[in-house]
Amino acid sequence: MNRFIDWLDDRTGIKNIIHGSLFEPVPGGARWRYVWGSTLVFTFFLQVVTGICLWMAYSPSAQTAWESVYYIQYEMTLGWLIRGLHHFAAQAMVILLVFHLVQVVIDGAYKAPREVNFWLGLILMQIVLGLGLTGYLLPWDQKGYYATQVATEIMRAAPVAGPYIQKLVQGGSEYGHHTLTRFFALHAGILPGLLVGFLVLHLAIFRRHGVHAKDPDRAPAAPFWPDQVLRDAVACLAVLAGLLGLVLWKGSELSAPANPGEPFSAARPEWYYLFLFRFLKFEWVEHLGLAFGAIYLPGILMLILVLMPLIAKIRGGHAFNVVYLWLVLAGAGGLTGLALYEDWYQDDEDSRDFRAAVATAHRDGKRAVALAHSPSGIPPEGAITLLRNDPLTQGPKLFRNYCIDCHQPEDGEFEIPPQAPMLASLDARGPVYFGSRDWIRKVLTDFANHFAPLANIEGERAEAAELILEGSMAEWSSANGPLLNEPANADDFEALVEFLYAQSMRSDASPPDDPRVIRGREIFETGALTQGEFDSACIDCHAMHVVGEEEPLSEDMQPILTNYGGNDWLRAFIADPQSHYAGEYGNNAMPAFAGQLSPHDIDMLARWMTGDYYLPPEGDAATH
Amino acid sequence: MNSDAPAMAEESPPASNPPHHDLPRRHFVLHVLTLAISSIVALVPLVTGLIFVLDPLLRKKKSSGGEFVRVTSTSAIPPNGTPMAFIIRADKQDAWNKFPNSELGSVYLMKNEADEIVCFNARCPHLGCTVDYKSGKDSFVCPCHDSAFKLDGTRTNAIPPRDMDTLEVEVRDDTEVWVRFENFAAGTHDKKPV
Ligand code: FES
Repeated sequence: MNRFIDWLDDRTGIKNIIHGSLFEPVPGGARWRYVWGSTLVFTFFLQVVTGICLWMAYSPSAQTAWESVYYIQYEMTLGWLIRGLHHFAAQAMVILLVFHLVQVVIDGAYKAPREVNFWLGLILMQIVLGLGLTGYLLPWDQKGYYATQVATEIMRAAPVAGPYIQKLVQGGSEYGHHTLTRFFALHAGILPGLLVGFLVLHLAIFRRHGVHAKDPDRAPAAPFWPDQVLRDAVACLAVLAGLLGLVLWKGSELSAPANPGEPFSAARPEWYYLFLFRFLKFEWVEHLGLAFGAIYLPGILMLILVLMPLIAKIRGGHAFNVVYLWLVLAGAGGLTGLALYEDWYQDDEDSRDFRAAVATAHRDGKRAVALAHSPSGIPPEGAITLLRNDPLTQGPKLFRNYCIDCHQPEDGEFEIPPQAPMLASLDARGPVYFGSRDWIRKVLTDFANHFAPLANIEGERAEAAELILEGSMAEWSSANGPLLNEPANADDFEALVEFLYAQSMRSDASPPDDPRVIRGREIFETGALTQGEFDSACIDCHAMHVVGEEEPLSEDMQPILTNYGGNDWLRAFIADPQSHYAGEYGNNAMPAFAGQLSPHDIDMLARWMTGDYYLPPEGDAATH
Repeated sequence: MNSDAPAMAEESPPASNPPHHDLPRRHFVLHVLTLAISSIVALVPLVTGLIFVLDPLLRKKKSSGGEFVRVTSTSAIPPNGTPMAFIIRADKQDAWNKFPNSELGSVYLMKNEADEIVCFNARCPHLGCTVDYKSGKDSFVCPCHDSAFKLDGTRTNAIPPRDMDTLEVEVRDDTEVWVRFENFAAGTHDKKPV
């Protein structure tokens, strides 16, 4: 071993290098305040290791970026840990950079002869910020997509070259495959390469001048090893422990796949850019223009930072620098705090909307992951289709847009009265009231109350509404409802409801050979109950073709009850209620939606209402 | 870099402590502690990264082979024993994507003397090329390195390490030909699923 080391030393001088770096004297002795540089080097090391790992699994394209990140996070061995570390270490780097900068400035370590190194440090800071910006987009989720778009729009505001820069950076006039390939090349190739290069220079010059001691006479000088190394190592360990804690506690989020057609009201930049985001929202800043707020002013602040070593030469310059830095940090901190306060604690409409949007974003993200995790998996067209074709995601949205004004739930605040029966609650995600067993019971025994909101309809459809309320089913219900409610007929009532419910073929419906369904069918056909008899049987008025049977029970009558409350019935009903359901003999007061909604929309709405969508098994939720 | 040391010595005040020769005894614990903590800090990311990179070895196989796939109908297979090539299609899981009905490989189906249907994976057991059927010679020949097989799959030269790989066949509902499709490691004497 020794001979090998001698051999190597003879050719490389390695002993001198190691000796030089380990036993470099630290004037004034080892101190905790010198650890920041080392923690930065450590987090960079962490980023290189985790970054290379992620690189082996990440695929930069609009159809594979989210998908591969999902795969890393939820399928690959320790993927959640690697991605989590990378995610949080990136943010730690920004914090440590600030600490390092503050320590350098208040200690006066930026002064001659260390100016060049100070400038190198500022360059490194820009590179790290650039890495954060480019990395945020790579998962191609809603959060990164919309936040980064703000950044590239800001580039556009730069004088003269702005639009060209923007186009170059995003690889075209729109976000797409080439935005990702370019951002990825920047994030994993160009910027880390530059960082390594400047870091080597930074460290070499640091070695040339040695540690800048705040007060060299405080203690005798001590070699770097082991006292300072121990402090550095402990600091790095603390950073690592903090990061691991964050990964275990919070984990790194993956919101829904980026979708340019789906607005994202929860968009915010990474927290360390929040101050700029908030600053740009001031009216007077807006008034002065985006270029002023986002480019010139930060540019001037940065320029003063660059000039610090020169300013320090003037009398009182150092004090100015220190005060300036604290002011800038206090300003940024204050703005960050303000932005956080407004988003999370303020009680006004904007803030509430933001919080609701964040909740929706979380929910959509989780749902996308659950669907990606489902047996049908991610289709070749990519994960963007998962939510687009998910009734549980699209149904409630469509319902809110098109249905809820008439079909008002009790928990909403509406200006005009309801005009149709309640179908689902305001933020319904789970089972819908429409077509449920309870719904069927109400229609049979309490028709007048159930459809009472129809009386509020005005205009063209008022006549049809009136005819429904005075129609034969209303009469039938008030005449035969009490009979169904007789205690002696309780089982029959249940059987009839079950038979009707079974027609929907919903997943929780009883099979055709269930005794209740068979009994219900008898009642449907004959009208004979245990106690008493309907004045007319259901079959006398309704067309019904029991699914899976050749012969219809009855035909050419309306309203049609075939597949009542099921997907086919509901799709046809929403598209055109009058022609599908009521026909010539009946009335329906609901407008046809075939013109307003695409067949896909109608399908989403129908399948949501019938509960025809994937639900992950209990406890299968992506845990990490 | 090694010019740094003298340059520094001029610049910085000489160390008033004699260098590390005195330290080991006094600070043996300190040294061990420093080494230990530094190693932890370096090893945690490195080991985590290593485990992540070893993912393909660690994960349980999510196979997209080994299941019965419907290939064709019995009437498509010539009664005279001539082999016919068929493409195998099934759902394929490739990392995050599920590709429905995608091509997994190809097989030869033929009738043997007992009128049973026999199936060979068309992948050459030598190094994985696709074996051709040469109707003139009544044999299978691989275009890559000339592995040759009789119609019953036995090799006729020493190039391939084993005979052609047979696959299980099932006739369902009297007409449907189902094959349990699997690929086997090339280049080995034994037939091992990959
Ligand atoms: S691969 Fe078939 S002969 Fe080599």
